[in-house]
Amino acid sequence: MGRLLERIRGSVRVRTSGAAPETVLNLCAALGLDFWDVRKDGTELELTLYRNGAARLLEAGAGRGIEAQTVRRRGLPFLLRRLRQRWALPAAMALFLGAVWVSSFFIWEIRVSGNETVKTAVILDALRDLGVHIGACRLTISQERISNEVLQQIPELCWITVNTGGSRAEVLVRERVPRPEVLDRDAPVTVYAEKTGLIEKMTVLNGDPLHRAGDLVLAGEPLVRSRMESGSGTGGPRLVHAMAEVYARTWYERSAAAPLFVLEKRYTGRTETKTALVLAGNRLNLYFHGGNPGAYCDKITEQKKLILFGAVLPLTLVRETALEYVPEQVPADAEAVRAELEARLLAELESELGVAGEICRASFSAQTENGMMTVTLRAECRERIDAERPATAEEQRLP
Amino acid sequence: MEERKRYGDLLLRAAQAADLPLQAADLPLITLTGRRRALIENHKGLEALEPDGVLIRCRGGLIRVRGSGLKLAAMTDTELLLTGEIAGVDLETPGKEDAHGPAS
Repeated sequence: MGRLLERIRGSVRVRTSGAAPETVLNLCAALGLDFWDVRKDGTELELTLYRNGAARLLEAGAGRGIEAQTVRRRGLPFLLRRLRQRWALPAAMALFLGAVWVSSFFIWEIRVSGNETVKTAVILDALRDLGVHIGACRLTISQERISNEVLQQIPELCWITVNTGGSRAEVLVRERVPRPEVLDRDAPVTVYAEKTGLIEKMTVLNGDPLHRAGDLVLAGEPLVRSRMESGSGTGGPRLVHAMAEVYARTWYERSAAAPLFVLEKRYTGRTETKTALVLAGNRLNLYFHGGNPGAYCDKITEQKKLILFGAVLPLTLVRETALEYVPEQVPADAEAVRAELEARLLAELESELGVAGEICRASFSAQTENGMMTVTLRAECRERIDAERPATAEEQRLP
Repeated sequence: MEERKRYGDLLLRAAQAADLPLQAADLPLITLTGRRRALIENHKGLEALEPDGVLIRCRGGLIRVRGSGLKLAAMTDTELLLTGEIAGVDLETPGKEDAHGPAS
């Protein structure tokens, strides 16, 4: 804090001689001058004072035989005095600060958050049509209009707001939760087998079962029909919404193949860096020739937004580095390839079975041909195979 | 000189009678913070400033601050702050060589 005050008020380092150093210090104290960094060297004394204090000391010392000379001047007042002769520099600084101030009324960065299924580009497109884009004036943004229009354009969203702070626009969205399917208990529905399998357990909640545990069913075959006889046998048949939980043994055979070599990148060491400036969405290339250094190369792009005192400026520095490489075929470890294929097949099957299914037994076999390894998975599983579909006219026909 | 001494004694007696702090009688107040800082209030000016000892004028005598690397950190017409490694503080009467004994 003291250092900052010193820089703002301006400080002067003074060397005195001709009088005892103690006399000079007593004079400073009597005049009420703040001083610091006192250094005594024989009869000479060096001390630092504020700008106006130094002037008073020089004036008071002259009448007391104190010879004082200025060693160093430091601080804002002296800097401003020097700059007065170089008007272009402060003018450029003022112009720059003015440009920063003006640019803070425009949007130079848009951030979208809260979206999971709706793509950010879709939201930005909708906003662009409503005047919210890079370079738009933030004072013209109407929250109400944006909310009404965007929600109509993107029905997957249920809420949107645009908060502008400085040159940054924060777009917050909430996605609509899909309405759950309502079960129509009166509609005639048939339960059928989604997969071929051997029924292990069958729990019928409604409807007339056509199979029982131990039966082998084919995919698409009806399991529980919607036509149902009344319990007493006097009311005649009626149509119901058939419901059942059917667990069955199923069998799978899946294959996957992979080459027994891998392509590896061998970097040649040849790199090329290109720099560009993006000013308010317009790119200014700071290089003369485009293109890549070779046929194959990795490109690394770094973007640095210019931020001044927390305000985003419409200037982005883009640095693109291209690293040339040569692709090379390298023999792969057969065991590693096999393990990877086995893991992939198992993961795919588990994903297909879902949480209600399980793999009871699994075996793998592998064969190599023409530089390719093929792994086959044979698995016996236990899973739920029931699914519902509207009953056909044939099934609905009552006697 | 004699008149000033009488004036000082009068101030001291008045301060004691009024139950006031003795620095109200313009007597020096020395505050030590460990061995690193010495604040002398009611001083009458610097007599000598050396890295190993500082001599300060005050009512009724001199204060000698002994030590090493002593620096004058701040000074006003009534207060004086010394920093450094302080070895001791002596109170001296002008014209007498012997001190009244170290205060610390």
